[in-house]
Amino acid sequence: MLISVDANDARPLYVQIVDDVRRALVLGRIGVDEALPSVRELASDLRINPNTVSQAYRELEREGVVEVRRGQGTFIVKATVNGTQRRALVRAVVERAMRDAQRCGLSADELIEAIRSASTTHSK
Amino acid sequence: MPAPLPTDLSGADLAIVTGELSKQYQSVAALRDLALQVPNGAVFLLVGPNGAGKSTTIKILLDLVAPTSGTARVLGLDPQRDSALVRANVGYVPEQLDWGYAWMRAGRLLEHHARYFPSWDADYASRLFQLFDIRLDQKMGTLSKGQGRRVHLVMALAHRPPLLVLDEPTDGLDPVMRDETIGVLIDHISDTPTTVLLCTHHVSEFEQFADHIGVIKSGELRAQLPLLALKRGLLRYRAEVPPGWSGANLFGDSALRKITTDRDLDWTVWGDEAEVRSKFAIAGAVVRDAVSLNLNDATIALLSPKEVSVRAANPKRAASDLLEPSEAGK
Amino acid sequence: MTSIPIHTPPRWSDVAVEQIRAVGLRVRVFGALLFGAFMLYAFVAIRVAMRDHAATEAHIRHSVTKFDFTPDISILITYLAMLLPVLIWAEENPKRRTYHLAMPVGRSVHALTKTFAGWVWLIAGTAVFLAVVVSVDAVTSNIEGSATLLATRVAAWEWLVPFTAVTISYLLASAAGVGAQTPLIWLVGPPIIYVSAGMAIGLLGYPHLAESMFTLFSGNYGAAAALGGRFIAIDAAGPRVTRWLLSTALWGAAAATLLVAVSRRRATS
Repeated sequence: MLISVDANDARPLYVQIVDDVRRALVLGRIGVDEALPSVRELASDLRINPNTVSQAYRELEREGVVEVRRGQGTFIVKATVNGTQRRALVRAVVERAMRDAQRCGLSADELIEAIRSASTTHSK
Repeated sequence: MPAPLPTDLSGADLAIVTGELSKQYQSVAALRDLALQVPNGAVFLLVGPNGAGKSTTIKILLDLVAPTSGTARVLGLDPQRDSALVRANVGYVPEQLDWGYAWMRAGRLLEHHARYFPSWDADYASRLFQLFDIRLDQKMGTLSKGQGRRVHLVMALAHRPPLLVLDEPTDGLDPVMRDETIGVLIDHISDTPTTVLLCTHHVSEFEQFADHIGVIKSGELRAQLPLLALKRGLLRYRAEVPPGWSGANLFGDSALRKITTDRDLDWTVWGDEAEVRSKFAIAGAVVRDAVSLNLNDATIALLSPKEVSVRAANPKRAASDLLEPSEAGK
Repeated sequence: MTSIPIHTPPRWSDVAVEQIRAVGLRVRVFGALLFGAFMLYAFVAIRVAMRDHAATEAHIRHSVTKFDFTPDISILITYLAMLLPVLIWAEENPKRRTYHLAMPVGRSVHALTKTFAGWVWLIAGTAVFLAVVVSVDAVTSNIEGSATLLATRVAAWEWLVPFTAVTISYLLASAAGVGAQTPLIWLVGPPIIYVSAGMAIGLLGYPHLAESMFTLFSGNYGAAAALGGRFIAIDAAGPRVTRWLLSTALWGAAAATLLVAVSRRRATS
């Protein structure tokens, strides 16, 4: 499972980590009872403040996705919440698209129409 | 001159707090009523141009220099009264590496330093030395600026103080060494609960490590707030305006950077996004986009506010004819 | 409120020991050179005595040059003692002393501790010096044939003179080392000014004023008395030991006060 962050991203760093964990879950890269990297390890790899990683893990714990086991690490508990995670992911993608659309002065309907036609082309 | 952004962090548990701290050097006011607030456990970036007062502030906090007026508290202690005790709890990397031990070998200097700090972790020190590739038998005077700075960093970290005060810790280091240094700092605060006050010009390098920022200019704070709040509250708005739009002063000082053409605005504004958007809307501007800034751009906006008006009457004319840059006040 | 500081400053004894070691390291070359010079002196002295003794000319043989000890031999090491602080504080003039000042020790205490460390080596060096002089005296006396014991010539208190003399000059020079940007100027300047001013005043027609000025140096309780047991103004002002004690106490207190005052100053900027 690969987590990465980008300082230039509009989302705060901890949100990026939460999103990446969600993405990994949805894609099946990580499953129940598997451990996320330790706070120390992830902070060191990503070159970010360990408190940011803790904040992300706490957020995931709040959502019931992970469980912090004292002395052992942070473990996935609910992979079956796929639905919620998927929806959260889609929402994130859509929000980015809507921002782009708005910047170009496009309406939501135009965007929906464009997605429909693009996906039919895509699946061919 | 009031700061455009919030500067008040009180309410948090503070490791460092100064009250109306001022320092006058003959004709120059190095610090003016500075109210620095560094929360416990924070990684606080102190950013500002040379001569803004960063090093002066640090020297006052460590009782290397006496303030002209005002108060300072470090870990609850008054540096002037509990001078030695404050310094016993601080790991300090100074900006100017001057010391009288150019003749001493690095290993000997470490031993020397260790005697002053009963909580010295000798294993940690030697691991860091190996990581930084410094030979113990090298004389301090023969080290490059970067290597000297790394020795200082090892000395600051090895006694695991509750407060680290780092003045330009990556100055003089090549990119690989800078990255290693940041890695060492991250591992250090993973292992040891520490508050970090870090002065640097390399803002983008520390953007992911820091969680608070203070921007200082001419001895005053222009902003002092958590990085998350800065990211959420300082946005670059791109909007369209009708011809003859007269909302140039819509946000006053809260608009730090304004690039205005006949029909478009590219404004960096501080404020709650929803409120700013609605204010734009009421004034007849249509906001297309609101983007958060990376820390480097945010710092530049805070340190040098700018106002540029571009009147493009005839797009075929050369750009240089059209630009009428004017710098607004600070 | 805020977190309770958990680290304590080091014990003074640890700081003192470390400073003694560090200062020792710093001056080891100087010390080695001095020791070499003492050895050379001893060698030359004994050789000369032996040569004189073996001379065929009777008049030389009977007046073998004796290299003996008198308290004012400490004048020599007094001058050397003044150089020691210059060496110790060489790379740490007040503007470049951040590392030293950033240690978890009070500003004044730290400077005084470093001074103390240098003093320890100074006393050790003085003891070595005296040992060499006394040995040379014994050997050359032996060669000459007269078994003059130093103990009969030198009063008990005179053995202390070298130690107190170097201490006073070291303290004065340390004040310059701790407080001045360029200590050498302060060591050389004031004596030159003092002598020139005195001479000028004398020449300008105020001999009495000049004389009063010079009592600071050569008077009953003047610097010469403290620094060398030398009593230039030999008048009936009490036994020599009393004069020496008083002048030493006076000059010692003055030097110590100056040093302490200077050690409390901050680095500017």
